[in-house]
Amino acid sequence: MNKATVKWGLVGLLGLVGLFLLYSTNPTESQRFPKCPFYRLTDLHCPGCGTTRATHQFLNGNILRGLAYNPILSIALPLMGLLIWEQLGRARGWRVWPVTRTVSPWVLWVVLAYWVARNLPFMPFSLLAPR
Amino acid sequence: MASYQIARSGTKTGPFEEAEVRAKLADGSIVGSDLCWTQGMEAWLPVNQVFEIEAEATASGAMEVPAATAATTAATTPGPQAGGIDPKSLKQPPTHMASAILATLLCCLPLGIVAIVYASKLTALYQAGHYHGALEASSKAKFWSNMSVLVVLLIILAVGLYETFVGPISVE
Repeated sequence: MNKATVKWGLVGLLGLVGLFLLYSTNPTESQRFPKCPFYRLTDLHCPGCGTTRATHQFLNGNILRGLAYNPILSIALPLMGLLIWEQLGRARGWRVWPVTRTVSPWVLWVVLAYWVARNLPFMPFSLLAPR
Repeated sequence: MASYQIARSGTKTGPFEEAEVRAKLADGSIVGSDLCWTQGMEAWLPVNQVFEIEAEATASGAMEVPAATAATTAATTPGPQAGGIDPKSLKQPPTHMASAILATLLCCLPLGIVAIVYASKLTALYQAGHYHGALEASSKAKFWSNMSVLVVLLIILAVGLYETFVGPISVE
């Protein structure tokens, strides 16, 4: 076994344990999951706010309920899938649609705009806050 | 950041830091047709190609070997051949965009944003032929994604330990 196998084996194992805990426990009803340090400090929602609660809902099959906790996941998850597909395809020498080049000019600005927007306390922006 | 190994006719030297390689290029102890390699590169490449040194060096390299054959041989089989190859014929380094986005969404810290910035810059650098810059952006995107996760884990751990043994922290 080489070093990379051990490293990714450990990371994968920890990930599976984490996912199982997240599947079986609802973060809104338990103290087991740590609160986000940024939220505790500032009372603001960062772009990742609600991802833990969303993952619990996804793992239990409630896709729409999960997306309400962090709506940007409806874009981010498919995008990450595409990015990984592009990377794997490139490594195999396929001609793939240049996902990274297409989204590169946008990602940063979308994330920053989303960060601001989900903290605005009026419609329609309040839809973006974790619900 | 990156340290490069240099090879000429089968003999390896180094590793050297980027600044050292540039200094050696300037004093002539490394020439543009020598091959170099650093972590993250898929193959040994001519120094002039990675470090984008002046056109006359590339031109003199291209005179020794016809450019077309140099491009195919140097890109596929690392050997002592060299010449002016199009940086775009090389594979683009991994952008780590997916991990940068993941780090931003999982960890509420600006460090994930830093990773997104580097991942975004990479494609433009690569397109402009700055292979060395793209390589650097690739390793920085990876570094800041990891840092984002690591720093948040450490903060959570520290807060958890403090609240267990000392008492609840109130941020008012």
